[in-house]
Amino acid sequence: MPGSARIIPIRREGFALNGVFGTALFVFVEVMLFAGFISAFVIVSNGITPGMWPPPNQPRLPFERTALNTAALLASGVTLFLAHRAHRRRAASERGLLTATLVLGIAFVLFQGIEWVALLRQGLTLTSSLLGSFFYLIVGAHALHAVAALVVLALCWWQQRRGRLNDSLFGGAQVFWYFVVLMWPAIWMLVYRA
Amino acid sequence: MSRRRAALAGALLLLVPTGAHACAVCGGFADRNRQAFFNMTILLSLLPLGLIGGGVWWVRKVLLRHETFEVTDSTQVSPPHEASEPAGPRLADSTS
Repeated sequence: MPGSARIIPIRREGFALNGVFGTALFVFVEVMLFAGFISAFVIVSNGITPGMWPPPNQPRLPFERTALNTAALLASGVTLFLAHRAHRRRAASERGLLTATLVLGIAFVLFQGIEWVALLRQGLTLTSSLLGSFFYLIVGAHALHAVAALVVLALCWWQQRRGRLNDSLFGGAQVFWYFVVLMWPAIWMLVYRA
Repeated sequence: MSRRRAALAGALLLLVPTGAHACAVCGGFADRNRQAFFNMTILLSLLPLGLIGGGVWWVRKVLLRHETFEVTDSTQVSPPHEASEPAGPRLADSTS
């Protein structure tokens, strides 16, 4: 039939970068893991006799002092987002922003380490109380994820320096780091302030 | 008859669920504890649903964005497309 036209949808192969999709699945599982940890902590801390939580003979968690840490981590999320935009535009600022993300992330982990040493010296250990058990379990699991994400970000930084940073690796690293960044305020507000 | 009695006993038990504090946590005496348990139950129930829903929404959004449309005219047969194209635009066959 002359002049007749049909519209045919064309689907291209794949709908997401492998790195992004794989990391998103991993993050889904990890979110549930942390939700389980945090819910157990909240239920246990609310089940203790009023006035007895945190345990009287245990040090208080440094909520105010950790605000600086939190700010550094949130800032690293912003710099990574800007690095992503620079990567898309192929702008020269990408390397600097990636470096800033790495520095802020490393600063967060280092400050956490210093804080842990201080708390251990004050007597808060994994077996000293329920607070210590939950604190090291939850914050330790988060620190482990932060270190792993920093390794991936460092790999991105190195590949970017060589001009070989691909979208899949960078996208996966971003999903991972955003998970670390966004999970922290929940932990900070619920565990440190309890 | 005994079946009826068993069913009736079961139905009566359903009316008094608080009498059976099977779970040491949800049967806790403290209101704070009960409230915390309730809140966390909601969180753990809705969080995976929200994550799955978000994932489905994201996949749908990406698929729609990747979907392209081509208008073809059957009187003007376009040349075959490059073999390197992954899925390749398909020529409409309006005669069939």
